[in-house]
Amino acid sequence: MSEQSVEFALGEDYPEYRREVAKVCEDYPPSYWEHLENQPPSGSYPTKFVEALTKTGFLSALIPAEYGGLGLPVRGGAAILETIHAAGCTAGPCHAQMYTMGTILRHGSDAQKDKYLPKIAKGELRLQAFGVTEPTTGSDTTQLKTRADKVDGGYKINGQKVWISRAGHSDLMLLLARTTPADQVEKRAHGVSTFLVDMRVAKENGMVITPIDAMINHNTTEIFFDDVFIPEDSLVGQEGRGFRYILDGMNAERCLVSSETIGNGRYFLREAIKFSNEHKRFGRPMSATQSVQFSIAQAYAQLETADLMVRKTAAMFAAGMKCGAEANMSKILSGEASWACAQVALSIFGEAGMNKSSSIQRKWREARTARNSPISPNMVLNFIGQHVLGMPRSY
Amino acid sequence: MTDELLMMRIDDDDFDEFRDPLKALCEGFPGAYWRALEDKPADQRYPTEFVDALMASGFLGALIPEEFDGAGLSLRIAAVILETIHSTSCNAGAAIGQMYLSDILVRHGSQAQKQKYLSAIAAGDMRFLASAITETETGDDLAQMATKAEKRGDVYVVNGAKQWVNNALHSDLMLLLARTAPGTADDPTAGLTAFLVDTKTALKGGMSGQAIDAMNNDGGSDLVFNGLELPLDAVIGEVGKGFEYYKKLAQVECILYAACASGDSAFFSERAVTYANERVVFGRPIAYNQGIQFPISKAYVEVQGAKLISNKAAAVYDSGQQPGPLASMAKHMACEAAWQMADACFTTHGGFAFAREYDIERKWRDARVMQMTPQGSTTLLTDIAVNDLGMPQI
Repeated sequence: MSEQSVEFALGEDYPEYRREVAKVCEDYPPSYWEHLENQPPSGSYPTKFVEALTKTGFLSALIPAEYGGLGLPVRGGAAILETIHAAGCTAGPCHAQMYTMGTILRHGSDAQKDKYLPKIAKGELRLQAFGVTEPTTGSDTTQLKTRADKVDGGYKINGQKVWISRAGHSDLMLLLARTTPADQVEKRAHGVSTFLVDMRVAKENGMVITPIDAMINHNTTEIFFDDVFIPEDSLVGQEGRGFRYILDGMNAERCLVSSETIGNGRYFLREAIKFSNEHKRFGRPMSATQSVQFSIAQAYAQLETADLMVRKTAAMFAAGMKCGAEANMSKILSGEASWACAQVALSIFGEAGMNKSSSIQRKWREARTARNSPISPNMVLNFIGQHVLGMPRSY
Repeated sequence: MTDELLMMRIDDDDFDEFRDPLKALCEGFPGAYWRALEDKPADQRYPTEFVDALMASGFLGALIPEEFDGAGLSLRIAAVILETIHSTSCNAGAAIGQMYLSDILVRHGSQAQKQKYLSAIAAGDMRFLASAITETETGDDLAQMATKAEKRGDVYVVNGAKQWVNNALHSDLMLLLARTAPGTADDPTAGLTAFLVDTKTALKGGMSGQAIDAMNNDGGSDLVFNGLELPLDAVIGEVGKGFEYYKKLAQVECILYAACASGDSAFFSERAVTYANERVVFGRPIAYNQGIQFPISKAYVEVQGAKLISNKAAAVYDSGQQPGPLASMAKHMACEAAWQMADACFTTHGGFAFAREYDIERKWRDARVMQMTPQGSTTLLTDIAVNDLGMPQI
């Protein structure tokens, strides 16, 4: 497809999916999420919400129809996730079911695709965990220390991962581990491989999952591997090429999480406008002051702008174009815009927004976290500076 | 389902067939040309040669329909033209009116007005560069404007004063907004009427003008109307509907100024990156420092976002709809982004940013002023808050 002909839709795309998703979300009001937050990390997973969403089939949005999914382009998934967040719910506990399979779809063998994708599409198998980040290397992904050493019939995994969300609620994990030592490869990105790990088995074989108690209810964990054996057919694609495969999937992931962030922004704006129009201070609606109007209008303009970048990225991804710059820009624009919305909403609500029973403070914490993960804004700026603007690698 | 939605193309650096010849034209007017103008007294700073060249190029007739000998092009392409001019050392402010002020004639002018003026404007034979709207005492509060046009027999007699009327002393035609009747309680903007003024004639009697000495060379002037007589056919459209017409025109204006800001951003980012990569301090190019690199990268992201919302506003306009507050968003976001990039470029250049020969400080002044004119951010944010988000008019 030539670049000239790639277009994206403006306005409310995928309206019938949006309507259906919004309907599911109606059954999960702020009190549902608040209740979960009051549980210890081990009991805080929104099981009912995830089950309801799984039943609708929306989490299989991106799986091709031949494997039983909805076969939508990334934008379709983005519209679904945006709607969930705009409704005040949180897709974080299950969004990875939507996109983590992309690595299998693009780089897996036919046998792997046939074995896993139909079950993932049905929700019978949960592929929700993505094991990349490590405690000592952070964003410096190629320096990860978890090893996958070749042994008879498979690999032995040793090492540690951190901030692995939903690992306690997933059957499978996509794992990135080094198969060739860093000092024996030409390029730092080489020698790292991608594996599809059956966590149900691995848990019996030396893999330990520890929940992390965090500022948001994201069911995130730390994972320890102690001589965990995985069979040979766990390898996805070619050995040593895993870093590239992971990067491929990241553009779709950034597009999707940016959409959630935009959904949060829409939630904040809707609530802030309603609250400030309805509540009077000094004899007139709060919204009849420029400090309120300008802050909201500014945040809204940013949000509308970010939304266009997400749509553009999705269109480019669907057309098979390189969209690393756009995906990164989506991430940073949506993060900043949503944070502006979050700040103005919390300021307008005041104490009413800080109360634990208010979703404003819960979403506000989510909005801040979204600026740091899954990629640091500093790494986005590094990418733009180096790969788009032609400045030197600064790190 | 999605078929009914408006579609937008992903590309934003297209239309080379317009960009390339314009870049070539602008190369003839390098920084030295613009700096020399700024050295002159306020009333001699007009970039006459540059405007002459642009008029002759035909690009400024982009938006005038083909039936009136214009190019009948889309607003998107008009935006590309202005963006390209501003991506160079040039500034389109002295000529931009020619591109869009005639929109008010296309929409609301009489057949006679269209026949008389549009072809001549499209050809560049007649200049329509000025719009007299703002007044000293009332600023953005247009409903309170004091300039009056009283009907006396077969003329309107204009008395009052306008401020910051760009290019009025270098234009054949000028759009004038003046009060012909008092506003109503419901609508204080009622009773404002749009007139088309023959400035050369007006300057001979009834109107006087003086160039304003300002921090940037944008051709602003103060105008005083002292019994200026306008024929009845100087009225554009219906008497009393001037404000409504002006609001529509302002949307086009916003989208075009957003394009100018986008061009400025391109100028600044190119200069900033080049300088950061070449300038060696502490033993290496300063671009290695994240303190230099990140502000440029961050501004670049904002600029790319602003381009998308500007393109969206143009796409909505080109589909035949009124963009409304979307045009305000485009201008606001584009000017904010341009200012961020201007300032990042300024910081990157260190002491050399102040040296006039680099042109950074000149374009930087322009970028700051463009945040406030022709529609300032406060006006734009109010439009978004009230007309898009449903908050009260204060």
